[in-house]
Order: sequence, then structure tokens, then C-alpha cells
Amino acid sequence: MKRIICLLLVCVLFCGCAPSVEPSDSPAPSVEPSASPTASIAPSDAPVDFCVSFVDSADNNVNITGKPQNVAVLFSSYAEIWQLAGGEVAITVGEAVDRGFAADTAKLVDDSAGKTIDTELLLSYKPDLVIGSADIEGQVEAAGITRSAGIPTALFHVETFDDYLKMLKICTNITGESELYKSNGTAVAQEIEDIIEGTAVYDYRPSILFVRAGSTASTVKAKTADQHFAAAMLDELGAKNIADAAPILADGLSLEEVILQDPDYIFVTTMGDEGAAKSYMLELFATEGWKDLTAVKENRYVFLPKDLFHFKPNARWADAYRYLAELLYPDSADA
Amino acid sequence: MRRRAVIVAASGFAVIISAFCALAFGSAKLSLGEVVEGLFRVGDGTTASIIHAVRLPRCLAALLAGAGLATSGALLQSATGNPLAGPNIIGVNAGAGFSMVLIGCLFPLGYRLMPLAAAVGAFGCTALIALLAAKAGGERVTIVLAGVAISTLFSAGISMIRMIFPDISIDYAYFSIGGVSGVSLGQLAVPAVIIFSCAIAAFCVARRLDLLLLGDDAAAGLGVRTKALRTFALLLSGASAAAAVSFAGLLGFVGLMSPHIARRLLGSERMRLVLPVSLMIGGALTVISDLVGRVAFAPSEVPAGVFLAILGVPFFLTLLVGKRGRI
Repeated sequence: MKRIICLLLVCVLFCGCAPSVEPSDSPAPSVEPSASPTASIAPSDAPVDFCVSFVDSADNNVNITGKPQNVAVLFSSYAEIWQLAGGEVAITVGEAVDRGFAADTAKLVDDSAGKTIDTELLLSYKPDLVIGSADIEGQVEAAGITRSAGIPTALFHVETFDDYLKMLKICTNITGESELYKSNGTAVAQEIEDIIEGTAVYDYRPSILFVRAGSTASTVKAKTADQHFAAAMLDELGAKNIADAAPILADGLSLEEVILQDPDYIFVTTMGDEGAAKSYMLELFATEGWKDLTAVKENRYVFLPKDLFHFKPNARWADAYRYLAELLYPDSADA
Repeated sequence: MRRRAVIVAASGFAVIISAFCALAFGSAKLSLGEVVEGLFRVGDGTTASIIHAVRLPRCLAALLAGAGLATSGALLQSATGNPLAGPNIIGVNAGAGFSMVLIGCLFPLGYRLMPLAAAVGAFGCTALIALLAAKAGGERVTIVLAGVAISTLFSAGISMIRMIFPDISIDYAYFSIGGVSGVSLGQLAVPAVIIFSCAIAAFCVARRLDLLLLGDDAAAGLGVRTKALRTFALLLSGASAAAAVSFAGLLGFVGLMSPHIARRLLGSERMRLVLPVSLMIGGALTVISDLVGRVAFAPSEVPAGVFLAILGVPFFLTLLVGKRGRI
């Protein structure tokens, strides 16, 4: 343990000389991506030609000395971001391969979405950088072990486009592909800004109900902007979420309140088996209480596409914003 | 005798008052006139929707679930002579939960089967325990031990399935809390028949169940076939709880609490009195828990199971302290 601490201290000393660069074109970060891919001045007896340091979403200092060649990405959405940053995923989870963000030959440390990580297998693959989710307990535990083993490990929390931009910045700093940050980051940010500005001309705010649905009554839960990124996007686009009326426990919004507020639109994102959740919701919309809602009567309910709103859209954030804007303001599609 | 009649009448009154409150109060502020209009579908369509889609089905579902679980608890406590017996000790929770997660992962589109799966799982588990207990001699303690063993096995099965299919955990989490949100009137017909049939059957054997309190030898000496009666009571208890679980999930503590409250109020162990009073108290408590869950954080709501637990735990502890650990 002492050796690891000493090693980390040496890394910190070496990396400390590298200038910290804040991504000037990204909004104020909750994590501080003070990453720099620039070369640091190293002592002559220990040449270091690459050094990146940053603070990850779990408030850990991450110091990377030496360009990573064998990267483990434990979450499929982050595997896509790593790819968008020009990186290659060598070790990952089954879902990342299924979604096409890692080659079929990538080594797997979990067959599905990465909720449990086989840390023994992960260590045996000798990764030189581990990227995981700060929101998945199994990955946080695995990160503790890889960090103890001296492997640079970064945990990220990506919920909104701003979070995506911050992570992309850090990843492109590591890969050195700053052009990809522009094409997959700042250009998308500009597109989103234009879409939001385009909706600001409308003088009405459509009321919405945003629900995340499974296939039982008790799993149909309203979500606010704080609880789901798509609800946050709708908020940015000027929609009025009826669940905001609930000061606490918004996801337990009662059907009584939904009937009273009678929202203009209902947006549904599914969890678990998509077919079962959709089928259940369609049956629910035919029952007393739901069937009399204006949004249901006028077919203004939408099952949001899973690729844009279940998984994070990453490089397609602008497409996701445009999709919602065109639903909320049908005229905007013609403009 | 007169006091007991008053208590029976007061329990019935508690059911009526709680049902009235459940229809009158909610996150929407409705006047009494509007509630009545809504009930008879005259006037504003929104009010009728609120009454018929939310308040009425939930009120009836809560009454029924509470009554079913209370019947189950009263039967079990009598049959096992264990004051802490509740539907969970005869595998209702573990059986229903296992069956539900199994169907959920094998047939995701079979969500319509969930209520049936929960009921079959609950009753199947009870039947298995009854069979094992009968094979092991049919004594009181064997029921409890078989229940603990089988419940542990099914609980391990639930954990295993939840690990392999993590998505099912969300459905199971809400199911395990218990509540009557989203229940429709159509869902209640079959469980209502089962619950009331069980209650009537239990009432019919109530006198013989009372004799079990004298001990198996004394009861047998008075002509009671103790093992058969105990198995019958166990199966009735399982069927009643299974019917409740099918639409209300795993509502905790009402099955344990209601018979105790009934006995304390009545000052009697006689099942012919305890059974109807605990049935009414169970119904009223569940309706009140659901109502509190609907209005305490309006316009959001908290499942009835949460408030039943909040009421149930202090009661359980009072019972424990009151008996100085001799329960």
C-alpha cells in the first residue's frame, strides 16, 4: 500500500507541472476537468513525455502518465464517448459490443450492462486506463480496486449535454484528438443552442407529463428535469412539466393530479423490456382516468426512441433536442 | 357481552368512516357535493374520473387487501398458537415474490399474468409448507420451521433472479413495498370472492380453532382432528393472503397487527369475535394508510405499504415490550 501511495505521490509531482486547461467553451463544470495532454517537464532520469491530470466525477485526482494503449471502458455509453474522442476500447462489457462501440474481439469483464464487474478478470487484462460510471455501484467498487492496484481510473457521471461535453473534453485531451472535440462537442453545442433559440420565439409553454414506465402500475413514474435528462431537455425547450408542482417525491405524482392538470403532451420512456412497457402503457391509456386526458384523446403521447432517450445520445444530442422541439412546436419543423 | 357488541359495531363504523374519508379526500380538493356527483357520474367529467379511476377502486382494494391479510393473520395466529405469525411465515411473501420475478424474466410480455402469478406463487408456497409440516407431524412448531426454511429458499431464488436479470428489480421493489396504486375495479372481483369465501370458511371452523388453544391433546380429546384442522386453517390463510397479494403486493404488518388489536379491544381470544373484528380493522387500517399516503405529500403519493410499516413497527415493538419479550 505504501508503495502505491509513494507511486501516486510521484505521479502527482510529475503531473503537477503540467498546465491545467479548462475547456473554455463548455459551461461551468460540476467536475473540474483540468486535463492537459501537454508534455510535462520531467527529471532527466525518469523521462515522461505524456501527462494528463484531472479530477473525475467522484472527486478523485486522476493522473495519466503515458498514452493509454489498453483502455477498459466499463459502461457502453462511455465506450461510445471514448470512441468519439478517437480512442479504442480494448476491454469492456457485453452491452458496449452489442451497441457497436467496441470490436467483437474486445475482452469482456461483464456480459451485460456492467452492473457487476469481474475485477479479477479486469486486473488480469492489465488495463493502463479504466473508465467507469460513478452511478453504478459495481463499477465504483471495481474502480476502488483498480485504483489500489495503481491503474489510472476515472469515474464519470454524464446526465446532461454539459456533462457529455466535459467528459468528451477530458477524453480528447487523453487521446490528443482536439479536432474531435470540436466536431463531436462544440459543433453539437452550437446546433443545440440554435434549436433552443428557435423555440424561444413561441409565446406558449406546452404542459407535459414525462413518465418512465415499466410493465406494472407501480413502475409508471413521473420524472422531473432533475430526475431524467430528457425531462431536462424538455424543460430547456420551454415545456412546463406538471410534475414540477410536486415539491418532493415527484415520481410518485398521483393520477388524480394528472387528471386535474390534463397535460398537452405525455412523453414516455421505457425501462426493462421495451415491448412489454409499451404494450402496458397502451393498455393503461385505454383505462378510466387516462383515456379522458387530452393528450391521450388527441394522440399526443410519444414513446421516446430508446437510442436517443434511454441511452445518452452522445454525438446525437442535437438530434434528440430537435426531435423534442418538433414534437412540442410542430411549426418549428417547417421553419 | 354488551362491550363486545359495541366493539364489533365500532369496527364496522371505522370501516365506513375510513371509506368515506378515502372517497372525500385526495390531492384534488373536492366538495362533498362534487364527490357525490362524481360517484353517480353527474356534473364535471374530471371529478367522475377522479372518483372512478382513483378513489373508489383504491378504497375498495385497500379494504379488501386489509381484510384478506387480517383474515390470514388471525387464522395463522390461532392455528400455530404463535402471536407473531403473519402471512410471511407461511411463505406468502417469498412465494409471491419468486413467482412474480420468475414470470417477469421468462415472459416479459406476460405482465397480465403477474397478479395470477403472485397469487399462485403465494398459495403454492403455503401448500408446500402445509404438506411438509403435515409430513413432519403437523405440530405448531413444524409449520413455523417449514415456513422459515421454504421462505429462505424462495428468497434466495428471488435474489438469484434479480442478480441475473437486474431490470426485474424495479418491478420487484415496488411489489415488495405493497400498495393499491393503479388498481382497477375489474381486478378486484376474483380476489373478493376468494377473500370472502375464506373468511366465511374460517368463521365456520372458528369454534374448533378456539379449542386448539387448549393444546393439541385436550382439543383431540374434545373431538377435534387437530392436524387436519391446522392444515385446513393454513391453506385458508394462504388463499386469503394470496388473493390480497395478487393486486396489492406485499403489504406488511396488517396481517400481524389486526388480530392483536382485535383481541386487545375485545379482551377475548374467541375466533368468532376476533375474526370479523380483525377483518374490519385490517380493512380500515389499510384504507387509512392508503389515504395518508395519498394526501401527506400531495400531489405526490407514497405507497400504502410504507405507512402500514410506519404504523406497524411501533405496534410490534409495543407488543414486544408489553409482553417483556415473552411473545
